[in-house]
Amino acid sequence: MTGSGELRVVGTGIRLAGQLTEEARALVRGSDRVFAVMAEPLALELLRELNPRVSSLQVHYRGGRTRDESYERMVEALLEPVRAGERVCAAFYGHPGVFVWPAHEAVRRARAEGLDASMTPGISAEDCLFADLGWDPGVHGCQSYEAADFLVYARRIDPSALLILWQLAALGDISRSTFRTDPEWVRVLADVLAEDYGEGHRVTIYEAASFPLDEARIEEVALSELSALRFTQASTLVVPPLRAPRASLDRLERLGVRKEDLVTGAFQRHRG
Amino acid sequence: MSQQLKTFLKNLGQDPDVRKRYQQDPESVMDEHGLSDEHKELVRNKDKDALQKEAGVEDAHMDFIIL
Repeated sequence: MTGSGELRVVGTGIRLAGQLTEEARALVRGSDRVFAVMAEPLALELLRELNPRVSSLQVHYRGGRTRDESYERMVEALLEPVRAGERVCAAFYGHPGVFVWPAHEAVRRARAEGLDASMTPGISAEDCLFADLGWDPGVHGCQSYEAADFLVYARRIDPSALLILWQLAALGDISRSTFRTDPEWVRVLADVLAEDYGEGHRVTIYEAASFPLDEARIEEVALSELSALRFTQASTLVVPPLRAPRASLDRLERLGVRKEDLVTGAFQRHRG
Repeated sequence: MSQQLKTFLKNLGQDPDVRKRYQQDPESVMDEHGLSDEHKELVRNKDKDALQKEAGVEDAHMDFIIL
């Protein structure tokens, strides 16, 4: 049977039960075994209604263990039965390919070993954000970074586009083994953003609703007040654009187009 | 484990109509699902950990997966 194993990586969405696609449902049902990382414990039980052979990969998180060590164990836990010829489904909450290192790594490693592996998209926290906050990434453009990576590696900011910074809970976790935010890192992040946006710029802390009784957290504050807020593992920082982008006269000239001949779309007028 | 509670939470998560009716009249939707008085109180208090335990969940805490 060795060699006929399969790895199917799926996302279960953010809101419990409701955002599980028909495709993901079918893959969970049709697998020999399901391994899952869910944000809500109840989500595991609901997966078991589709397939009783569900195990949680959360067991690989341990105090004192780095996330990379935990993820390595998750990847190997997924691949071992695939190598033995089983059809394995890996289910991650949200989208399995968005901010999920072990999901991509498992697919990469399986393919490198000649095993059949694929990923199926799910509804991500970013998808929920666009719906709940009314931002369309195509209107202003969208910059999306892991918050600590953005801060340390000093990315260039375009203040005419939306900026989304993820994983505030891990800001300052230089050991990569906790989920606690270091308030000093938040203060420095706010200062860095204030250089481009001004400290009075209004930003939003967003958390998509995952549990059925929850509403999304949408908390708006000035950048200068950011460090007073409490962050959870679900917290995301949304920085709205400061101004509309400006047309490049140089590029228009290279394109042979006069500015007055450009037909402006409704979405471009919306930018102000 | 309470199957009624589990079904109530599942329906609330996946059916926008149930969610809308719950927002307008939570008591009626809880009655429809046959929730006990004790479970209704947990729902009113939004006691997530206790609700998950009552719905048959084994461990009550989960860490997110992050980069």
